[in-house]
Amino acid sequence: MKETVASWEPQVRSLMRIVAAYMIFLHGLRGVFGIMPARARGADSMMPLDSLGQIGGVLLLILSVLLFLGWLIKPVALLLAIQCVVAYVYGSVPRDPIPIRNGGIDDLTYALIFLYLAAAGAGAWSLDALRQAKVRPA
Amino acid sequence: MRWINLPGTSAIRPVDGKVESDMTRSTNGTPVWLPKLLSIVRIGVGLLFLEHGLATAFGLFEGRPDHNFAKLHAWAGPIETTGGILLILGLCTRTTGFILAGEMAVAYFQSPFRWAGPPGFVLLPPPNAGEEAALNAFVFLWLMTAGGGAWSLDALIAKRRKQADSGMRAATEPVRT
Repeated sequence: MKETVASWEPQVRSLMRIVAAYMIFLHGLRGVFGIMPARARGADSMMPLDSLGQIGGVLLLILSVLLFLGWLIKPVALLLAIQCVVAYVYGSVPRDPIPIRNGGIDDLTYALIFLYLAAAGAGAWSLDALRQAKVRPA
Repeated sequence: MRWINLPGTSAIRPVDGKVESDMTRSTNGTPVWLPKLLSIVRIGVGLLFLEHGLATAFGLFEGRPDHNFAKLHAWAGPIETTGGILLILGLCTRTTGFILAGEMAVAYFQSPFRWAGPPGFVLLPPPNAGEEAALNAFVFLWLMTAGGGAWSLDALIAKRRKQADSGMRAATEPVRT
């Protein structure tokens, strides 16, 4: 049982990567074009990553597409992790030191998983994996 | 090609392949300290998640405590507090990850915020306030498959059990001369 579940790790890691990339893409759209509907809870509340501004938003859009495809995962995930930490330090910490009250829990969770993705790779369903399979047939 | 598990790492490498001189990387390109990073990620996610549990169950961090257990939302308090602590300790990580991923799925689709907008709003996690639930659901699902990593009670227990097994075998097996 444990071995079966553990053998799915590369696939589930890819799934997590794709979902995170989708949500980061939406943040990028909001940052660059501002075309996201108002937040359901608390109209004045900032969304995570808002403090990155437009230039950060452009970077989010580009990086999230690469993350979605699982291409060049190491630099891409590392840059995204840095962006998330920067957004947390500049956007959330001045509001409150406690993550649940400064709205920065998402930033920190993203930073942690992007750090792991940068080290572990994009997982089974990714362009990186396809390219590797072509270079080194199993 | 045959593969072996390297002791001290989670990496596999071919038996008949060339052994790399660089011992900081296994042949599939992952660093050998990856299980330790996994533990750091697990502890960080657990700490962040525990805050929600403490806020809902005890009203810490200026949260509103919810003790109306006739409704589903109140159960988030005890589930998230217990789950967060188990994640931080790395105890029963896979089971905890499975249960919490399920809880996050329920939290995502049960919350009225998700359905408060135009059609399709439920699929837009950042504005519908469901980003944490959606992200955490997949992080916990991944932790279910990845386990607790190097620094976890799970790893400690497995190590102790292995030592006890080998000790038992040494005691019961006849000594070959």
